[in-house]
Amino acid sequence: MVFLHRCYLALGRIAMFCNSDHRTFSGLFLGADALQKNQAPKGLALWGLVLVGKLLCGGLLWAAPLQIVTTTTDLADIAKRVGGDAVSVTALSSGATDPHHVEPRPSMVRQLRHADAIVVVGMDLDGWSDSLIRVSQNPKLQRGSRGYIDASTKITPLEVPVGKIDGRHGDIHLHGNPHYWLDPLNGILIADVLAERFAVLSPEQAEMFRRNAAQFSAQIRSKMPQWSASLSALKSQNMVAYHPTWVYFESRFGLRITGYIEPIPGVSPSISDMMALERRMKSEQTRVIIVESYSPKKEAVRLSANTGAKVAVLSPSIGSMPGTTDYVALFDYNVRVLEEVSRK
Amino acid sequence: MKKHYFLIAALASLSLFTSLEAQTRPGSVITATNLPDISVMGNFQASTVRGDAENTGFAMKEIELAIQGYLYPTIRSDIFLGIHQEAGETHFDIEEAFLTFSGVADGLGFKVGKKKLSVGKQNLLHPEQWLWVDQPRVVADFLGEEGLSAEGVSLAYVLPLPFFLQAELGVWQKKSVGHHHDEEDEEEDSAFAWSSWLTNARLWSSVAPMKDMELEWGVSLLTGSGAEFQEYRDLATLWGTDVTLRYWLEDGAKLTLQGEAFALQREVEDTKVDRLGGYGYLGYKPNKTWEFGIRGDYSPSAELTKTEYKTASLIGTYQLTETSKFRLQYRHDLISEDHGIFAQVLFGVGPHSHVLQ
Repeated sequence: MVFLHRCYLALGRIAMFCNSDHRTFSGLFLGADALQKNQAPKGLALWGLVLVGKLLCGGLLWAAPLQIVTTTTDLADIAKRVGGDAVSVTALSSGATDPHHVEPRPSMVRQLRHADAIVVVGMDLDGWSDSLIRVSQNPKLQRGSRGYIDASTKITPLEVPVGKIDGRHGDIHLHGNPHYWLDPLNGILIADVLAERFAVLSPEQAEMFRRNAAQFSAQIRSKMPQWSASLSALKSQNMVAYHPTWVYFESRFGLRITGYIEPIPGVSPSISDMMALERRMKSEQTRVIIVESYSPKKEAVRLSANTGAKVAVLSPSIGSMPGTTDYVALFDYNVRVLEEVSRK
Repeated sequence: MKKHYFLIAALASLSLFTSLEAQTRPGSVITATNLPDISVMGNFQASTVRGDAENTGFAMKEIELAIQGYLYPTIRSDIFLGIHQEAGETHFDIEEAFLTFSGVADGLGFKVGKKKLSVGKQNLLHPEQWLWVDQPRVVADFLGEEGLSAEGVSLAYVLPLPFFLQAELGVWQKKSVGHHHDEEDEEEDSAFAWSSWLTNARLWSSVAPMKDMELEWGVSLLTGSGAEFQEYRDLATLWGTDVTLRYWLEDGAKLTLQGEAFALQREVEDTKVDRLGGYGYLGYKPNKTWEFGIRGDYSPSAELTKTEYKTASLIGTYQLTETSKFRLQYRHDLISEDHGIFAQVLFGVGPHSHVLQ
């Protein structure tokens, strides 16, 4: 049965011409090439095989894997962990891009056209996906439908603004700081949301989704003591960061980020802002400057030269730095970098 | 006309006040609201054009009020009201007001209302989305200074292919000539304009040949009547093609290559007119705030008497926020040897969005 299921998954990926997997694209043209080269019997045989495979395995025996699209690589990894073989996951953005400034590209619509669900960070961070969803004309993904999954629904937001907010506050988010996936325990909550929502989309796999989410949770919890211990030396040190990306990370591990290079979120610092921050860093004996991999580095380098604080280039998302291949590796990397910087 | 101003001012004030009040209710962390996104965009220009006193000086070219929101999970309403200034006169206009029905069936959606027609890439865009200060001349000549909008319905279908390809078909009615809808203007305005019933079709595709590259192309067709259709036989057909290549470099830098070409065929009584025009743009964005570009324009005009127009422009933009920009453009007319310098401040307040383009 397992062998048959695996055969089905392979065939299903070929058969779904419009999914996000490049192998299916090759599969489509494999048949076309054969026909062009007067190898019609071979090409037709392939199509026949695909059709029979899809009918037998997809239609009769098993459901096709859910096509999941996520806006970020972090959500993609958690979705893969929760969904296992029952899902095929694609991320719209790479981890190297600032999630605030992803430019939606029409070619991304291809991935949404046949998706069963889209997973978004929410909290106004990835609103750029809305226009893509609209153009995809995929009824499953429209806001409010079963396939529109906001991963933030279970987290407790931090830095929720109170009172009137406008351009004077910079790039501030009405529903709170949206970088919540950088608290590993929030990763568990994201996995819970995905397990629940995937179960709605594919009820027969609900138990597996719950089991996978539990395994993911156990792995994260087992890593927490190690990460906390590695960061313990930093708890007594003052740090500054470029952007309020690390608020959840700071809160979870008891760190102390006392200032930001951006005077307000999303606004580049002026010379006077830099001088004021430099004075403050000296008076507070700030030891570490955290910069996101995609943020400008020159301000941090200058502050480092003038104050003696060390620069730590951290990875806010999977794939933004070498070795950050999955959600656990993302924290391994960031913890290791901070630990190394604190020792210098 | 004064009634219009009063109405729009009252609506805007009420909406903005209600929105702000709802967001700032004391004692609440997040107050749920049932309000649309409301935003205001301003377009202020200072320009000096040699030999063109009318276009020299300061001008508050446009104030755009946008009210956008969902009225049902799959139905969205977008309303753009504009107040324009031209030649010392202020005009009120419904720029766009349409409903978008998304995912009616798998891959199929439609729009109803008044909207900018899908003819090429530039025509769909509002000034705050442009990469330059002035409308490319071929678009202004063939479609109108502010582009072509009309009332009607359009269907869009995303084909089930291994790459993105959208087919769009629209039927429209253009009830008046030009964009100001003043009868006096119509009589004075001898420029080419679309009128009466129009149909348009567009194929729009985009692929990512490399990880950091996007190649977008479109083919458009517009058929209908010219403005003189009531007195003469005035048929017009416009073919358009557009290509945009975007390449993201390291550290947020981006290279953009964009071009559009249009072929206009007109039949006014026994006179046939065939015109071909276009523009090309090469832009470099070294970081998220600056963009520098060069644009070349060629338009033979859409009138019965051919008047050629060739210009080259240098453009620099500083982007403060997503909707607020400062822009400087130098334009050199290669035929008349005249020069023009345009400075523009675009400013936006409130959540504002447009269709994906």
